[in-house]
Amino acid sequence: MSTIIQSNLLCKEYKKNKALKEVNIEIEAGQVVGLLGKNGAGKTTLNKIITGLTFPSAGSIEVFGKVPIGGDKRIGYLSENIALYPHLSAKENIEISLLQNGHSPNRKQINHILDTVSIDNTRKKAKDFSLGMKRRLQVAMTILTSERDLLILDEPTNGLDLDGVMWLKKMVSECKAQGKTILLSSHSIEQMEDILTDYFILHKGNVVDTGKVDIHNNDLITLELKKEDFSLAIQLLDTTNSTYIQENTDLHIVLHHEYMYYLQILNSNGIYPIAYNLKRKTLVDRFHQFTGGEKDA
Amino acid sequence: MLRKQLKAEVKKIQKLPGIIIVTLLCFLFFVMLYYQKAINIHSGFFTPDLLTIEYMSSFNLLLLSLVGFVPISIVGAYIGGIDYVFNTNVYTIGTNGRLKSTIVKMITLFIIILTFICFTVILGVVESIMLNRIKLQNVDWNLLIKQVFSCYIILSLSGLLGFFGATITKRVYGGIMIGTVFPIIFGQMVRYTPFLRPLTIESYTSSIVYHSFHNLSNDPQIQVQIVHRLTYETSLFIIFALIILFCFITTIMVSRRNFNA
Repeated sequence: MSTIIQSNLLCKEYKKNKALKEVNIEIEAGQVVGLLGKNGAGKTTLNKIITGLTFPSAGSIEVFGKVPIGGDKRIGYLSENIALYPHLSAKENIEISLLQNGHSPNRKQINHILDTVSIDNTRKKAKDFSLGMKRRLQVAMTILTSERDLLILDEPTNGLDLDGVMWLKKMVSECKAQGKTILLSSHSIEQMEDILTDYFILHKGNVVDTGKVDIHNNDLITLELKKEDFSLAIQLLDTTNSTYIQENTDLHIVLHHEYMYYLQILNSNGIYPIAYNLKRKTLVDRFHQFTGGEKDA
Repeated sequence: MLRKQLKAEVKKIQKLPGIIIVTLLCFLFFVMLYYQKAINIHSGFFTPDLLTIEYMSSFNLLLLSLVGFVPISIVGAYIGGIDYVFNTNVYTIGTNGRLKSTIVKMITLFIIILTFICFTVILGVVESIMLNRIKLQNVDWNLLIKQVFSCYIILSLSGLLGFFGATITKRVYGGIMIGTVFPIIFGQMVRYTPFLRPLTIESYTSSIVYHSFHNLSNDPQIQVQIVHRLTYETSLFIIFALIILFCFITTIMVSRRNFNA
């Protein structure tokens, strides 16, 4: 797989506020990556740098092998704020977007796009739309008016009701099936977790966790060990680069392999846990684990 | 390809209430002056004998050169500021890039100015035809072309001021202030500080107007006052230099800016 986005020690500073601190990410073609973090974690800043709307203060980034400066039609960016021409109708908004992407819009094409996002009243001005409809129109202008290879969706569920969220998930799943790379930022991950293939957790401008969204990676094994076995068990886990948390006589290990792999390592060194418990750890659990209990970053 | 981008830029602004009101007021202003010169016999401006095709075209162009800076800088401000106001730079910059989108916007502005000027000349022709004063053989085409060019240069600078103001402040009203309100206030202030007069755009545009519209001198109602005695070529050169300077500064600013989304 080819690398679409690669950043190296990426930093962004706004006056005295460091929005991004030495962020390293690598995203490959076809991945659906969740960029998770609380409000103010640096998600939008990272998205804007990838799109070329903002320049980094330090470090480097390449998107499709080039430094992003804007003007790449392969990238579609759905911003978290509403970005529409409110004095124009849905039809005219789509028309402008098609023209900007170099198409010659015709009525059939515009109607097809509006049908896809379920907007019936094509003559109504965008300012008179509900928030959900505005979001749908924005999605249409981002995803459907040009062939995109990389979609950056910043808080795409903002303003959408449950039906809207289901509809958006369907749209994103279709894009995923077409092999498009999708970077999806959200602070409400649970709605989108099942369509992600990978994730990054951003906290206070740092990438604090990254990995594949699969059962192994989300699973956790809790071992209850004898006190005297603890130090050796930790030494063994360190040699295998395992991620673990120690809590009283319990050891919580994040499973990067089958759980038997860890038990075999311990058993072969004479450590037999008193008990063990397997727990599926959701992305939400991981998010809370790495970002702590604070409300905002 | 560029044609589509230009069409998109025009579509963005064509239904804005501000643009509609300004265009309508401009049209009414021209019609009102025509009414005073050609129809209202009680008017102090009533001079129907003068109103030939050449005269009306020149007269309308003069009007546009003198007061057109208000509507044109408002149009410039809307073109420059619309994507900041509606947060739509994500599409414009995202799709076309910084340099191309700025150039497209500037070209759109220059085309709109040309359209305004053409409309003004055509309006002059129509107004003369309405008075049955069709004498095409008397039209000094060279002079008319010079007047169109002079008017175009003057309005381009005004439009660019509005565009520049909106881009630098990221607001349409910023553009209107810098393109319209600020030159008026500054123009009034230099009445009391004559040594600052060379800093006003008016000192150069008045020189261009003076050298271009001499065929209207037989109209008792028109008195062109030259503020700064410069040759036509020198004034033209200075205005050109200012246009290029504003284009350059705006492009540099946009290419280095961090955009909101």
